[in-house]
Amino acid sequence: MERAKRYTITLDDDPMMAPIIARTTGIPSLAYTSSEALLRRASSYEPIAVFIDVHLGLNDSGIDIIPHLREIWKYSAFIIITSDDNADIVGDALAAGANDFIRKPIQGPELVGRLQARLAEMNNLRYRDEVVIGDLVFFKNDGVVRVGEKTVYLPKLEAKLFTVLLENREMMVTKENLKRRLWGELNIAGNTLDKRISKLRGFLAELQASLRIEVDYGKGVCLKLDKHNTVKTAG
Amino acid sequence: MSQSKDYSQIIRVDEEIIAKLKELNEPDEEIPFFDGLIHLYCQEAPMALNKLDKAMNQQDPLAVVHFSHKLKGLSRNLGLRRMAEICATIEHGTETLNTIEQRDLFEASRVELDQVIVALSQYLKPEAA
Repeated sequence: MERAKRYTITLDDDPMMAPIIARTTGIPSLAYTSSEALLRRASSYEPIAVFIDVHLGLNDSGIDIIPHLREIWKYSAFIIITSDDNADIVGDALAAGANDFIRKPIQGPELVGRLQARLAEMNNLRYRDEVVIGDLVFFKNDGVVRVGEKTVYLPKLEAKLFTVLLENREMMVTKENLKRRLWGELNIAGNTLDKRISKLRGFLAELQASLRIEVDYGKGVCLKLDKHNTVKTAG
Repeated sequence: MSQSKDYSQIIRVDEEIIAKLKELNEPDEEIPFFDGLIHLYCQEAPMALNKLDKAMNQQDPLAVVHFSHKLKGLSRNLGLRRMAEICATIEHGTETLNTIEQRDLFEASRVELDQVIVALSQYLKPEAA
């Protein structure tokens, strides 16, 4: 089961990185400056993603810690941060198990795009058949959503929409990204997506699910946990 | 290598990066997020520069690479292109620069950092400047 509260971890001796990443993605990011300190506590965390600086300290390489963290966090997206222009470094990090990389200065849309793409991959690996978030179970193959005793059957596009929004929970997903994921193209009438969102909202309301869909017409769509309801999490 | 490079041709502050970072501000923040980043830079960059100075004095090339790289990264975060470029030259020149060239570059980075801190203060919210 995935914990309801999502967060990432940033391993970087640059104190600006964790706040920039958190603010850009909309997801809190725990900051660590040494790989040794993080490794000691790693088993108590379950981040959706880890951002790792290649050059940590004088004798501390971010690349070296990747295989150790991967053993503990099998389904987290590992994204390398670097201001190193050397292509070998990126190659080494990817070979060590990183999923992606991003260069400084961080470009917001690029960071979010890479993170969302990697989350989609890791979610496919982790949740072959069902996603469990608190008291909600989503059976991906059948489009069935269950909360307690209540069940709804999502039509195909609403199920796809729900999958994408769940993968990127708490993060803004642009309407362009949604159109591509649902229809494979952008040339879709403006209100077609809005209608699907509206329908999905209706299904979630029927279930009294602890989730709500927020639409920011300038930025995109975000699936959020409803803070007013408690959501059970398992240890 | 370094003596012929004219860093004055490189812009000091990339306004596009600044603008994008300012977009991360949220309304009603007592201290705007971007101001917080400036304060962090003004704290961290001088410390990194001091450590770079020490590394050069101790003729410790690994430490020179590390602290120049760190200063480069900090500067790139805020679009401080000229500062980042000077630091990159120091970082990549540990094997090719002689002591005098290295020291000249350090001096250039010190002067540039002073200028950068003044430039950054102009972006702060008026009460915080």
